[in-house]
Amino acid sequence: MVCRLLMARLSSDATLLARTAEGDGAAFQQLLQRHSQSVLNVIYRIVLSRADAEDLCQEVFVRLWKQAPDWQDDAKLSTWLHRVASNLAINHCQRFQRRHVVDAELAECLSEEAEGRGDDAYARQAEPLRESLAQLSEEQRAALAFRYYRELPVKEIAKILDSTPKAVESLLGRARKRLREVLGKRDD
Amino acid sequence: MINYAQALQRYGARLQQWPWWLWPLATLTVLSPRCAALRREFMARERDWQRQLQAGVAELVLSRDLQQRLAAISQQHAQLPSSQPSLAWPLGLASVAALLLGLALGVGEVGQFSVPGDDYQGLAYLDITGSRDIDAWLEGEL
Repeated sequence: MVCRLLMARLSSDATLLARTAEGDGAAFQQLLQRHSQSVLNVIYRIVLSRADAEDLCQEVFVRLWKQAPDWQDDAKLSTWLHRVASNLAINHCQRFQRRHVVDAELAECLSEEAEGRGDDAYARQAEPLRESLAQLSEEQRAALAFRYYRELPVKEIAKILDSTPKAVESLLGRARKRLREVLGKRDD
Repeated sequence: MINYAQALQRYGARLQQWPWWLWPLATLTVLSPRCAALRREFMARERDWQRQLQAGVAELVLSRDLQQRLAAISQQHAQLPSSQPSLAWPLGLASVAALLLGLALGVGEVGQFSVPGDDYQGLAYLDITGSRDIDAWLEGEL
C-alpha cells in the first residue's frame, strides 16, 4: 500500500498522461490533484471572478481529458495547461467585455471576492488592488499572474502566451506602470 | 547583445534558470559589486510586487462543488479518438507495394529471358564443358 502510494507520487506527468490517454480515470484524478489548484488560481487572477474561474478551470480539464489520446505537444503538461487556461480566460474576458460594457456590471462581478475567507477587513484591504487589476488588460493580468503568482521566468511566460520574451517584458513593464499609476492615484 | 540588467529582467534572479551561454554574465553577480547590488535591488522589487499582488488576490481553494465536477469529467466525457497517423499502416502498405512491384518486374524479366526458347538450341552449340575438345583429342590418339 505504502509502495503504491509512493509510486503514485513518483509518477511523472508524462506517465500519468500516457495512462490518461488510454482512458485511465485514476491517472487523470492524479493529474487533477496536482494541477487543478494552480490552474484555478491562474484563471482567477485573469478573470477576477470565482464562478467564472471555476467554470473555465473545468473546461481546461475537460479539454485535457478529451485530447489526451491525441497528445502531440512536446511542451510540459504544466505549460500546456497554463496556455489553455490563459487562452480561455483571455477569450472569456474579451467576450465578457463585449457583452457588458457597463462598468457597474463589471464591478459587481469583481466584488464577489474573499468568499472563502469571510474577512471584511481583508476584503476592504484587497478591494483597491482588485479594482486596479480590473483596469489592466487581460493579457497584462495574465502576465502578472504567471510572473508573481506562478513565479515563472519571462521566457516560460512567453512560451505560454505564444509571444516573445521581449514582448512579455514590455507587457509586464506596462502592467506594473499602470498598477503604480492606479494605486498611486488611490493613495492621493 | 544582452546586458546584466536585461538578463535579470528576462530570466529572473535565479541564476540556475539562466541559459548556459549567459554564464559570463552570471559570474558578474559574484565578481561585480554593482551587479550584485543590481540583483539585490531587482529581487527586492520583485518580492514587493509578489507580496502586494498575492496579498491583494486571495489564493483560492477548490470548492467541494468544483472538486465533484472535476472528478466527474472522466465519466461524463468521451475521449476523442486519436487522429495521429498510425505508422504501422504506411509501413505495411509500402511492404506490400514493394512485394507486388518485385513480382511484376520478376515475371517480366523471366518472360524476357525465357530458357525454353530458340536460345536454348543455341546454347547446345556452346562447348561449356570442353567435351568436344576431349573427343577430338581421343579421336586423334586413336
